[in-house]
Amino acid sequence: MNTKYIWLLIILIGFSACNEPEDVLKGTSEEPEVVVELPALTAGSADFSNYVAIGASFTAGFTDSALFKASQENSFPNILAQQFSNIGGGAFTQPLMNDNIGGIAVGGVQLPGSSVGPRLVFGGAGPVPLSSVIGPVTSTTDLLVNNPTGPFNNMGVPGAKSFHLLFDGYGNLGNLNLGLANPYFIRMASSPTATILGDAMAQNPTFFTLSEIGGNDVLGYATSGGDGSNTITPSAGPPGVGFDQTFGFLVSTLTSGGAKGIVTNVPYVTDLPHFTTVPNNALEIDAATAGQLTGFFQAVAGIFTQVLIAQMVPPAQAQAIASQYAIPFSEGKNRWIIDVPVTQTNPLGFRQMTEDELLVLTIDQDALAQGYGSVALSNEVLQVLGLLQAGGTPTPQQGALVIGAVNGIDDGDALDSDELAEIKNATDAYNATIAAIANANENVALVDLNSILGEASTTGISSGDFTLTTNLVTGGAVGLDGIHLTARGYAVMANEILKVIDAAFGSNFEASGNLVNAGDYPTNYHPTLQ
Amino acid sequence: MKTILPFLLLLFCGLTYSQTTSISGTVVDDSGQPLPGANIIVTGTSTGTVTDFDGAFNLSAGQNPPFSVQASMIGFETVTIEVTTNNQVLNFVLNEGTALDEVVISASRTPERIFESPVTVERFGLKEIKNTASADFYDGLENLKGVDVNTNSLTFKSVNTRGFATFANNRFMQLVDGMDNSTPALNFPIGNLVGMTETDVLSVELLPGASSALYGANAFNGILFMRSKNPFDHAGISTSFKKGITSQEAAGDNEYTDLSIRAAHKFSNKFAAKVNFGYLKGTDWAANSLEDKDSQGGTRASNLSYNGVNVYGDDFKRNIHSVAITMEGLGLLPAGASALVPSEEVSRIGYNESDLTDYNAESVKADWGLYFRPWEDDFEIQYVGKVGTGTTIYQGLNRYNIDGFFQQQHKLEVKNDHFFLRGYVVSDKAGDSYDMTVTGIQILNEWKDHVTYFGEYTGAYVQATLGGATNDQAHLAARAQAESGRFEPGTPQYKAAFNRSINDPNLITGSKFQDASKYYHADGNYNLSHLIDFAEIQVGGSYRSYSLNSGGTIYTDAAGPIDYSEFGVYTQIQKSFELNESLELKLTGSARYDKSEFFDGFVSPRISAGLTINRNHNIRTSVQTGFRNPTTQDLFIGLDSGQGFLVGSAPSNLERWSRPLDVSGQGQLLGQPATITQTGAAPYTNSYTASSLEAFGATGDPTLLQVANPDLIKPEKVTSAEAGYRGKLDKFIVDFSMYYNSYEDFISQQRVASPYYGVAGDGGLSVAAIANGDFQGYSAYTNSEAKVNSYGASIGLSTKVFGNFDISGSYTYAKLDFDQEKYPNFATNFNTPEHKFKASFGNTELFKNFGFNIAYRFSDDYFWEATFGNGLVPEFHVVDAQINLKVPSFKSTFKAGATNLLGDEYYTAFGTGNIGSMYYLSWTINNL
Repeated sequence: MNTKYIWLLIILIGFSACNEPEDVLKGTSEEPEVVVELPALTAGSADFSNYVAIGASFTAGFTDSALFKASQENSFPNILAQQFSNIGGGAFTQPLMNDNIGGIAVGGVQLPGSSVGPRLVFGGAGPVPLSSVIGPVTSTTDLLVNNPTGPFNNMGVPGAKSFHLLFDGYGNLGNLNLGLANPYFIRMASSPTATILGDAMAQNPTFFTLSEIGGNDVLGYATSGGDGSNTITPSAGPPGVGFDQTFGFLVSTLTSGGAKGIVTNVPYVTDLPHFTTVPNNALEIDAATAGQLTGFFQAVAGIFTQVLIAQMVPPAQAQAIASQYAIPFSEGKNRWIIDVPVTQTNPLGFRQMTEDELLVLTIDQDALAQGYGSVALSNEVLQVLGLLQAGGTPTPQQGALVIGAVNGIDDGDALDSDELAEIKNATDAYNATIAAIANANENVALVDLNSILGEASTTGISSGDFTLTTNLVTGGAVGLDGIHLTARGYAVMANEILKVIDAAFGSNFEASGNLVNAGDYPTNYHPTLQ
Repeated sequence: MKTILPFLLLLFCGLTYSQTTSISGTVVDDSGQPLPGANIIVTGTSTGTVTDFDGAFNLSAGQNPPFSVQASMIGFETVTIEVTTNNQVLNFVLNEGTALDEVVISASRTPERIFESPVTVERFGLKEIKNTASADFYDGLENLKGVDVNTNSLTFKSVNTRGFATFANNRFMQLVDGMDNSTPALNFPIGNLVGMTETDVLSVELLPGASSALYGANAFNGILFMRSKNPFDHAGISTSFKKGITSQEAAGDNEYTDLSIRAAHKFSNKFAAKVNFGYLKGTDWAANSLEDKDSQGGTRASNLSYNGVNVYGDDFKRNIHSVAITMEGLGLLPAGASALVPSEEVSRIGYNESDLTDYNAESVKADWGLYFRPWEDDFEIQYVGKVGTGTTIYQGLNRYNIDGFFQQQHKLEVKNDHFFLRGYVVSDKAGDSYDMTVTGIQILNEWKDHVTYFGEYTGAYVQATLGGATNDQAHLAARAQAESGRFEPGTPQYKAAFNRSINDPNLITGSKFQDASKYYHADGNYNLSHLIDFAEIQVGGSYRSYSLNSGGTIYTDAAGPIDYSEFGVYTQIQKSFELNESLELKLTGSARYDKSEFFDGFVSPRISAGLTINRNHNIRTSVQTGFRNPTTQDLFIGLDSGQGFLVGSAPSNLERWSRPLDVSGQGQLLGQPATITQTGAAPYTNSYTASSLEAFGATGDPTLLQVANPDLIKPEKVTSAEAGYRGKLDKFIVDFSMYYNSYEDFISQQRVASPYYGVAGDGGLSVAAIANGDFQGYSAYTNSEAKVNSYGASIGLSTKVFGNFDISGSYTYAKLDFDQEKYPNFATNFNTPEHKFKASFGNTELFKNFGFNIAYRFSDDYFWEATFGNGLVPEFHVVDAQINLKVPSFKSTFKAGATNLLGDEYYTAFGTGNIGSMYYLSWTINNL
């Protein structure tokens, strides 16, 4: 071929690979989403080969008022362990329950108490017992039949308070009837005299999470309405008694072998839906009822003034004291009446709830609809009221009848402002201890569960496409018991822990795409799940 | 019978000659080959004829000898012979010239050799039509240097040069015998759907770049001139019949027929007439791309908000978290339940394009002309009528099935060699055309409206979640619930819904495209060269009046047609200076003033200089400005696109358009009424940018909201500088040009959102409106502040090799200079590859009566931007080839050709069907 025409060929060949698509796309108005190559996962300074989780119900995977196989699979330690397994983490053994019913039996007899009974399920409007949907059920997890054999990486024991982790009779079946042992630990304990901490340490953990220690130390008080049946653990005291030294002992023991770990602080349990779902002003009445109630409490005040005067209290002072009982009611929503301790300034021991006071989720809703929290109006009482209206003077017995008709909410169903303050003070004290101990130990990093739950209960907490809130049933973060997290909530918690591990120990779970997707975890479990 | 008929008529033609001087003869080239189709003309008269297939001619001149007769043919040097006796036999031998000797008239509105043209011009003449390997002459244009042919459909190709075109290419003008054939409803020509029949084409010229100085607004990216054969010069019957198949993976192999017939007759030296008929039927390139428009590699299964390129109805999506919030407000979900619903976009499951069209591609066109020369000289009065109807696919904002579209044109023209004055009307009827995208949406809406669909979806999602489902499981359950009741294609319900939609012109409920718009145009030109000696001066002007009539379906003309007008005047002065024996300088200056009813007048000047050296080299340079008036759509549209409202920005349009809009439950809690009304002014006076809305949605940070309030539209401007060289270098013919274009006030659409309440920028109520979803999306017509420049160059070389083989090649470079990062919301729609290479190789006479041609095209990959969607157009190599055989005994040429011979399917624009291969046989009779 004539050399003159070679330019044609050169151009032909030259243009066959002129530029790459990326060059063309660069700087256009719509660059396609480029799949960014994520960095490889690295562990940083932590050794995840033998991870042990120590804690209480959150650690165990407790949800919907129960512990069961499916909930344990979605416990945050198990989620963490799955992520750890991508970077040297070993097997993670959990003391799996025998079923998806939840709860524990002994010798075929269901243990009493809501925390060892079958799980709650969504009943169409709200949480209901499993039995109300699928009929009577009995837990098949039996302390005499099918206790699993350890050791267990997941040492979460639902209900455990801080000092329980050091108590060497906490797993002794013999202590169960005395209320000293915990059936969940009885299943797991390596011996009747084992301690939770001891069984954990026996595994020589290389990495640990010490989670929600201190939670049950206030929660029991809170769920019992501060009625005295379950006290707050003192914030100071020796190991096995006071929170500060107990917690210090736990951390120093766990890190004694050089293990690194995560500790969490304690959320304000009163932000949980167990305490925020039932409004304190749900006494919704029409104008006539409001007038009737106002009249009733005016009668109470009047009668009590007379009672005080009869007890030689000066009339002015008597009137001043009794006037607090002339509680006005208006059409619409009114706050409930609660019982409070009898004092000199409140000799009748009841008052209307204040704005920030709370009721527990387990309060009897039917009773509320029938006068619980206001007045139990019997015919006799009405007769006395009629008498008063007619200008008559009731007898002392009749007066006592009226005052006795006041039907305040029991202490155990409500948290009044004093109790709330106690819970808050104790929580703050625990958290100060936890923060101080965590800050003083470079092998330990703090996950601020308090802030995380605070965020969820106010603005909601974002995770992927979801924004979880703490609304009961519909919030997505908190399960049907109003206290424990959902699987999705635990997944978010696991992610928050992973982020702290990244920051503290130099791993890159977040940057390498090794956080979990909240949407892959359900918010509750279907009643038919067996 | 088909073949006999023309011969019979030819006989009839032969009987019409009369008395006086008879001459006959032949025309051959320098190698002795007969030259059919050469022009024979008696010098100084309009008496003439054309040589037949054997290069022979007979002519009767209306005067006595002596006189001279001229033989000319494109590509050959003209020869004149003196006639001295009656019945003299004239044997012309024409020396082959070069492409540079071909005559063009578009560049200066006066005939001149390509060689001397002051600006770049491309020409596609009879020889090229004969030799093209493409399926028809219009397709053949894609082998021209620097030309992009964007293929919308088998019957709708969009020609452009130098970038900045979508299929709605209203920056490019197409003239047929001086008549603009852009469609009144659309403001741009639908390819050759209602253009010219191949047998009537005399020549096609193409001016790349702005030509506003002579041709006014719209001649902005370039202009295509098609000229037909005058029946005085080209009488007789010619036909072309083409039969073949189109072969495409998606549509399979389908038959294809293309027929053109031309019948012209010169009744006398005073009167001639012609009739043309064209018919094309085939199956369109099916568009079946399931590629996800929104996420790379997304599929229906992997992406909840999947939006397939050629899947319609799935453009409609909702954020189910927002839906859940609304449902909470209405009490349809328990309070707080929206926390269970992820903030994820979910789209409806659409219908594939193949379920929304039959891909019929059809074009039927006819035209007729009466030509009267009362004084038997160059003064001529013409009436030309054209009608065309066709079925094709047009890709604009959506993809439209243009079905039974009908356009007619009527022109009256008076002209001689010095002037012309013409007036014409162009009107269209949309026929049974419909919007396929909207049809998909309407069918979906018929079995379940969007509110119910997403309500059911979200409700079922929540229910599943409360039953213990994970996110994926909940989506599956939700989709199953929402999809219940779907009309599947092929079922009677589907067909009924489809038919109802495409027959309903109300775009809220239907998808029929309705239009009966028209425009009237008049223009005139006077060339004063015969009166003034010192320079060649031309003056001219034009006037156009629009009448928009879509019944309120496209334009805001529900109450009656919208009328408006524009005019322009221009002049051009051309002067040659002979500097010395070997240097000639030609200076051309032109200027045009245009005024539209709505905008200030514009002057667009052009100045150019051409220097000819030794008659073999020509260097040219020119600077000009061009401008483009906003189109009728930019001004008067009022359309619900399915994804937002399009509202044109003519001041009267803003008030004429209004829509009632429903306020959300949350909005009503803020004290707003249940329904508010927005007028067309909303997007222009109270709006946020769509991109800032997305940023707000992603972050929840209201300070990210940016007030848009785009300015009302005004004309866009281009300043263009160009330089070029043409000439002969050794045996090569070289044609080189380069240009730099600078655009201002680029006409563009801006996506904005207008809140139902509050004032954009108030930081309060309007933010609440956006947050509540109480806003309407609009596409506003405005000008971009972005400064856009482009530059490029092209070079073409041609020569003969191995004896008489023709070889030619061209390379075109085009580059956009634009700061995309500074203007992220602005799409330039540059849409042309950086590198293009074209080559052709052939021989018209490989051996006796047998020729062949191979054409090759390479396009670099480029990014296509248009309202329908943006995406990469991968590089492609295309080879077309043809072989042809002339059979002089029955005046026929047979051609066997194939396009895209390599069979690698490709596309020139994102969203269209892949272009497959075509294989055809054609038989052309008597087309010289």
